[in-house]
Amino acid sequence: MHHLKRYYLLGLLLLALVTLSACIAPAANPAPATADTTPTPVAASATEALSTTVTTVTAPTPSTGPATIQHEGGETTFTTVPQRVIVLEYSFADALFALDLQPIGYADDGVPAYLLKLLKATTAEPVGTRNEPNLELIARLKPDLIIADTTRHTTIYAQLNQIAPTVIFDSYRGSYETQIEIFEKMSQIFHKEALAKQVIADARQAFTAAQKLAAGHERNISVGVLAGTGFTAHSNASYMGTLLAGLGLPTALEPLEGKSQFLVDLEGIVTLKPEAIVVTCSPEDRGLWGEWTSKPVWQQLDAVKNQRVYVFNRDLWSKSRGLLSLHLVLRDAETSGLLAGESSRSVTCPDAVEE
Amino acid sequence: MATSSILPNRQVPPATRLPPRSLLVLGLPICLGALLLAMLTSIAFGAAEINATTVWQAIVNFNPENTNHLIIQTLRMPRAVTAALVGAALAVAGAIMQGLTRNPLADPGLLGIEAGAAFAVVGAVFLFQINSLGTYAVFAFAGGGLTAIAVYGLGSAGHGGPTPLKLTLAGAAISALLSSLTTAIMLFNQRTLEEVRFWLVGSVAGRDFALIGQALPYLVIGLGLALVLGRQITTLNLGDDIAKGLGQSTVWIKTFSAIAVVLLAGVSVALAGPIGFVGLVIPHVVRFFVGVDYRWIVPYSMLIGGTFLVLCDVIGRVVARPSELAVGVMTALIGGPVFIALVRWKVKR
Repeated sequence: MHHLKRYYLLGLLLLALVTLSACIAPAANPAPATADTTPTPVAASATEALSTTVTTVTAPTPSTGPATIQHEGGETTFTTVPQRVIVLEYSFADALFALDLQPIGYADDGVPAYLLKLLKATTAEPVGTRNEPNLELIARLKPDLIIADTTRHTTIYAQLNQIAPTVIFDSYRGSYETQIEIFEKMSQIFHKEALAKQVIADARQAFTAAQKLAAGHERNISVGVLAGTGFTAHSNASYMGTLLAGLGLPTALEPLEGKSQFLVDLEGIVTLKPEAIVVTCSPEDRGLWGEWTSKPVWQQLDAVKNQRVYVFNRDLWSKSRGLLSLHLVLRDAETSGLLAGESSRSVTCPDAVEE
Repeated sequence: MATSSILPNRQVPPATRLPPRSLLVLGLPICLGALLLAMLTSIAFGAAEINATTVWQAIVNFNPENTNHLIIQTLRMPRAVTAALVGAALAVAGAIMQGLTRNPLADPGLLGIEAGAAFAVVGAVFLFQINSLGTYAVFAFAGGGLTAIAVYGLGSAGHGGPTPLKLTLAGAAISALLSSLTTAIMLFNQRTLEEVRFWLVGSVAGRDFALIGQALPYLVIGLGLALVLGRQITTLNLGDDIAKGLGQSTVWIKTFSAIAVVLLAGVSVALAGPIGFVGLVIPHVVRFFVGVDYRWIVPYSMLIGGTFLVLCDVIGRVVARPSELAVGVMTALIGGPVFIALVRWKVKR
């Protein structure tokens, strides 16, 4: 009797799961993975969509001896250039495209729009979410390199390494400079150091231009993500914190117990006395944005009274952390009035940025 | 009588366990004082350093131009009030559930209210992309209420009406089903997981007086019902047959008790998300001091439950400054050991 009830429950659950998965299954990207040579130059249109970052397309350089890479999981030596790469964090996908390569698989739990556009132009397939990559899907694609992130994938590092050589970097909690170091290391794996130098130079140039715009408008800011039911503040050790500090917009918030970003309440923002506030959120969070900004304490903040609250797309600003996305982020910062210290032109959580 | 102790077959002479009536009457204002003190502590404490004079000024002489006053009035006071109300409601709901089902391990979760509320909120976030505490509350209350009705209906089917065993089984089955579906949605849709994960732990941060105002009528009715039903639940606790023999209409008592539980637990989950342990532990702590009479258990649960949750919230804010631990985490961290200590003490006797 008891068993019957359990089977009944189990059956119901299975039925529900099937129904659910039918609803949720990705509508697009049915293209099967053909075993063609993967690191081909990205479709020109996709590259052009991303401003002027990648200007010279170098022909695939022949391997110049083995490359040894230091990463958070130790040391990995590559005797040949990996051809089938799976990336488990968005910044790594961004880096591959910046290096004129493309992945065969990527973690997907809401890829930032600009990146999705690039990925759609390839045969790359999703391999589960960043939190829970699907090892079976990964193995099925027969990768010869997996690039993982310490925050989410340390626990499955050994399993990933059994499938293919895996390098693991700290992108999620890493600063702006860390992202550049990771990018350099990735370029060594593919013997693309020359191209990497140029991509980094481009990024630095765009960054310097932004710094010039912001010169004379240095202010204390608060920066964070509005999502769920609260505000996750990003400290002066986070990617967004270091990026904005480099532009003369430092945040006073220190990291807490090794965490570069953590939940704070409205009171926490008040105590930081920010002259400007940078908020990133998704279009789905507009309800929360309305709730949050109607609070009397929020309206009493100097930054709010002076119209110095700048709202950006969360996917692009806090999830991408790439050198391609950097150009889009800097463009956002300029057009919003943030850099020049002008009144904010943002109203609510903006739509995704595609190019 | 012994059914209310954790080991039902162990005889506890009730006469010696009941404190004198005068002591019970005296205890109520003391507990009320403790609750008010806890709420004052909660209001005086936060990320911003605000001295005691300003705190007092903000309460008695509110100036809407003053940021500190606004922090006290619009952030800290609603938070303290929410914690007090939710703690009181959960403890009373738990006490009634334990009396109603004669199951010392019962709590409001047994009727599937928390699982139903969580499922409704997660489903609504996934399907309609709702995202504000106000809309969460509506879905949570509706989901919790509907689930409780389904559990109660299923538990009342067949002859004999709603027996404790049938209610427990129906609640466990439906809760398990809904929890799996909730997990399934969150695994399939990462965005939903991110949106609701803080709500799902249970928190009293960021609630405002408007939300409390919407919840208040249900709370008042629920608590009123509980206070009125105290005598009948005490009798019911002796067993259906004895209660019937004493001339009680057990079906009506059970129905009204269930309504009170649904109102109280439904409002709690709407205000603060699913918070565990309060409904389970507080009634046992209360029974430890005041005995088995529900006329006393209900008001004491109200006051001690409120105090407990307010203190949990304060501690959650102290240990992780300037960030905070959600109150739902703290209730389990503190409630767990208390419960184990209580069980060990009872086993020893």
